[in-house]
Amino acid sequence: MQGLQTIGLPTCTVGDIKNRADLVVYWGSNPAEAHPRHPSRYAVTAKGLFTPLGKKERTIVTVDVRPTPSARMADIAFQIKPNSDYEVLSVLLALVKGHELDCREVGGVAIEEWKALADKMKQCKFGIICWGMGITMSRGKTMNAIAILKLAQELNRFTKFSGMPMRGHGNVVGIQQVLTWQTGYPMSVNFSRGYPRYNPGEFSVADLVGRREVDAAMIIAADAVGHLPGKTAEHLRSIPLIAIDPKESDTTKVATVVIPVAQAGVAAAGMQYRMDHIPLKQKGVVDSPWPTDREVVERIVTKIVAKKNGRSGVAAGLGKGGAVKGKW
Amino acid sequence: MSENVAVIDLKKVEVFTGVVCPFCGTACDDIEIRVEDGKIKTVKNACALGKATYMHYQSDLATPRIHGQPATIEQCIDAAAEILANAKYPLIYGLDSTELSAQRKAIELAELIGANIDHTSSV
Repeated sequence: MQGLQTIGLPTCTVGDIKNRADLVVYWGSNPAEAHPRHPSRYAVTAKGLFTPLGKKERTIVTVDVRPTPSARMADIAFQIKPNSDYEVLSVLLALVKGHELDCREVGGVAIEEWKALADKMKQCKFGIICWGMGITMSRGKTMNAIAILKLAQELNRFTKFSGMPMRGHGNVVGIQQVLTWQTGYPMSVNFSRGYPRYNPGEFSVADLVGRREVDAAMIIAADAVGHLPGKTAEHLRSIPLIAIDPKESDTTKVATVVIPVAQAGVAAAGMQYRMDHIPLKQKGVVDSPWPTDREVVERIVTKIVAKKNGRSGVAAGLGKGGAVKGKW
Repeated sequence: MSENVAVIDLKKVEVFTGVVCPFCGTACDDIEIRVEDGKIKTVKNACALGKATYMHYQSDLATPRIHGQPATIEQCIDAAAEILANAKYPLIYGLDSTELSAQRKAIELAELIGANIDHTSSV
């Protein structure tokens, strides 16, 4: 995310991949297990307008630190040393720019192979690098994403090239979009002064909770206790915790208040963003005895507004930040 | 892909076509789901992950409770509002497996109580 903010995203839609891409690189992502239909619908076997023969017309490359099931569908599978992504990407960028490098191997792979890949990238008609958590959760983090995007931008001097993060977790693109459109920032937003402030590292959840700063938490549609780092989860257990979730999870097991809801996309209708930032309409197919997420949050908002009005005798500035005055 | 819902009125069977799968970011929009008497019977076109999302939806559901004791939704919402209104520096986190209008409401709530709001891609 910060990578995108630094350098911008040379992007396309999944439809573009399906119809145009003749070179697909999966870097640090494992679509065969995490996004099973991404290869078949869009990137590998899909037959598109300019790729009528499907897989025969594409070169599939995977780059990962271990052999994954995705590597089996690849034409070329690179297995690199852990935490060497940034090094490899920088070398690829140099090779694409035409520099000669005085080294035998990079990331455990011979330089000739990287040279061949750089040439392939320059010669393709439409290429894309789909990167996953292997990039963002290893050494370098955001810098790795920046390196990929830089490489994609540089390749646009020779051909058409895009980069796309393989977003998981259903609607994680959606909250990013909505937060940006509502507050101007995509994540880690703080309202304690009544207006939005943005500072990842200070206001991002792992740091904030890791420093034991928050004194209450509302976890909605995610399993924080199960997924956050140990120390963070520990602090969440010690404060009043509200869990809004359709299913039992590690969070609901330790939460002070558990509010079950209808699951979006299954029992509740709504909108969801796809990984290429296209909004799609979700349908509710079954009924649920519980209210939807929106209804629950709405009722909490109404309750808090009523409480604040009762206490001060004046209307709380709902949606204007007036309600938080004097708190900090 | 039609937007329509075909209702075959024998045992209250509904077939939904063009359903968008909420599991991963690929958001496949060609899922076909057959619901009989309010129970999901078959899921077509989805991958193993998407199919499991629908087929296992009705198992392992959460129940409303406060401090481990069963409560009504109303009591839970009261308790939640109480906690958030009294907190000095609250956090709202998650929001990735839900839909846009709920996310928007949560941002409104964050502004109202002066909270931090964050989601899973910041970890």
